Amino acid sequence: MKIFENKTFVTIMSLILSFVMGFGLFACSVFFSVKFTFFSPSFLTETLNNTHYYEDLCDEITDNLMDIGDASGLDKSFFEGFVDEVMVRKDVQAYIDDFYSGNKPKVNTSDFQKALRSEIEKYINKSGIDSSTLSEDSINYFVKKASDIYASNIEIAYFSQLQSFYNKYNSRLNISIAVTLIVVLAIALIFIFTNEWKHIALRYIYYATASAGLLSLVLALTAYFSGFISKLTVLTRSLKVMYTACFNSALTVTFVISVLLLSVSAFLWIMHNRMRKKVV
Amino acid sequence: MKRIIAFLIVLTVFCFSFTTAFAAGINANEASVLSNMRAPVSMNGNNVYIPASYINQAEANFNTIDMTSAQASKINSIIGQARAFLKGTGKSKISELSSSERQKLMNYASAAASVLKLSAAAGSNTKNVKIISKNGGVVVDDSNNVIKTTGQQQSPVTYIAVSGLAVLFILSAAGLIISGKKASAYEKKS
Amino acid sequence: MKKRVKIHNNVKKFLIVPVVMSLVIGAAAIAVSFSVASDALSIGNMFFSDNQVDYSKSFENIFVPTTNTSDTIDASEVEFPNIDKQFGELKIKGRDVDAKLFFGDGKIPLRNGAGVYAGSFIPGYGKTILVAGHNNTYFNGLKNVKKGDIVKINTSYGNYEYKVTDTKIHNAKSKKSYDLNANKENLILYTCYPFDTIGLTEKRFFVYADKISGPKIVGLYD
Repeated sequence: MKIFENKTFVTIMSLILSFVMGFGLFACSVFFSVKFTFFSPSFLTETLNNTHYYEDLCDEITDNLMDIGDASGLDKSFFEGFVDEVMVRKDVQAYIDDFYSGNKPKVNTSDFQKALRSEIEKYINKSGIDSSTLSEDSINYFVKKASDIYASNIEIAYFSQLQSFYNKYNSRLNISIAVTLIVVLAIALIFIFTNEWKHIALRYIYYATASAGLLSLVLALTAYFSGFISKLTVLTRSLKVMYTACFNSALTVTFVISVLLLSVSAFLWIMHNRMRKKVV
Repeated sequence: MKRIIAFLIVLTVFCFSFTTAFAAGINANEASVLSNMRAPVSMNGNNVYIPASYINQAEANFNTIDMTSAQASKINSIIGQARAFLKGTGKSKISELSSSERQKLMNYASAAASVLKLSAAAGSNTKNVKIISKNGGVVVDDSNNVIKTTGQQQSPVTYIAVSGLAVLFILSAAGLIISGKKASAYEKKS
Repeated sequence: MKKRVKIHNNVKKFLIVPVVMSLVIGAAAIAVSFSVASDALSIGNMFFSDNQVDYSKSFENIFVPTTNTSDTIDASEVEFPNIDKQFGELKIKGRDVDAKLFFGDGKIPLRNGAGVYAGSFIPGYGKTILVAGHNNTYFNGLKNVKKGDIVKINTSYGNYEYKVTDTKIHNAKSKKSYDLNANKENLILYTCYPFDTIGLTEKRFFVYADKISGPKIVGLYD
């Protein structure tokens, strides 16, 4: 067809395809960042293990339990050392596992309640209080309220609300990644097989990878230097630590992907120049 | 509705706080806002009132600022839009709103927040949300429990969700919907 | 000259085209994001702010004892407290009640003293003052309070006295235990009930008192 012999038309079409390929690569980099961070259960677990999230969380739980202890006739010392980090880790992990397996995340407080009742019994025996003067209903109510506090501290902000979002988009994310990769690959093949001079194909593929890499790099650097993560407002220190670590890791993944794309771009440009010299 | 309007009001209020240390009293602009807060919202023939606890919080906070007429006008406009929107849904209760309607309502709050330079901070579960002022201090107690057990919000009544999810303020429906005949002694017209 | 043109063309292809393309892709990505998730983005924006949460457990104290004995005080002379600020002290002589008085009844106030519910008012305002305290710390002494006892509240703008008129036990959820719409100054102290036991109930012990002295805040309304 004559139109395909028109050099201007071919250049414009190639640039458009290169743009679409670049957009696809950028979208892929975002999808991969999300896939390997927020949509990955092991990512969150590792992030929490690498920060002092559990330490802060145990302190916060203890603090909140001391308040309810104050309202319940217990000494402040009652809850000192009571909150077990092992139990907290187990319950947080179970909560995260529930979320990522598509179930509505909830906290099982049976171990906590058992430990608390045992501690109350020891406290009563140690302080010599006549147990017949105590009300079983009051103690049960206290244990329930304390376990509600424990559960609300184990829960992670927004997770229960994001559940449906995660369930809806998790499968779509995989499809999106597959579709964009297919489109990118198809365009690359079009460039390679429709250009007699292969260095021209490499040039347009370079434009796509370089623009996607540049944009990903700018995104990562802008997010990092803007300090927006530090501007996240959450009510507890432990959550602030968690979200900051998660966002920083996501930015790191984006940065790594951008470096990868730019490295591929550099390779493509070198290959383009070499092949062009041979032709010339 | 009450919590939402009170939320909007107090958001609006605190962007102007800290301008004067002893900006005392309720000026005419603040009085107009309080009056607007006390007026009922008609939802499908039911009159919905903001609980006195929220209006009182707004009044207590108005004592620390000096609101201008432009600011009051903006606040009253936002309340008016939220009020008209709720009336237009044809629903009788906040709990009957669809997720997109709740989202729309929350948009009023977020629009107010962006204008008013206030922010929301969520707790470990987003049932506890507080509004934070410029100096990091808490400015709204969103608990529906007036009488506390401890120093924490016990009532899980406020949810704010992001990422396209429906945004709700879930209010305990009982006691918030008041017909002309059954007005609660504690939620009177003024 | 030929070499300069060659270098110029190479720079154009190597740098400028990818930069321009990345700008266009960026604009397209922003347009797509806003069209798909504009509501989420605007709401999510609320949770990012220069206003950072204060995680410290310390509190600000604006209370400075005063010897003001006048019957009124102008609102412009009153520093109205914000939440979690100590603005006074509360005492009941002979009943072992002596607490710092805070505005707000969150964690900080109740750990350090007694707290005025933010949906009520401060002394002198002419309305309901609802004060909470823990029953095994600052408000343990309420168990001995009787009718006729005097509650003293000292603030930076005036010193107030309230006479106890009644004590009652109510359910925490009962709205009959307080009236936040009252237009007469009344003081309500409350704490968990019963005292000196282990456990929690839904009951609260209320102490009701009427104002007998202290300056009225005037000039509140224009």
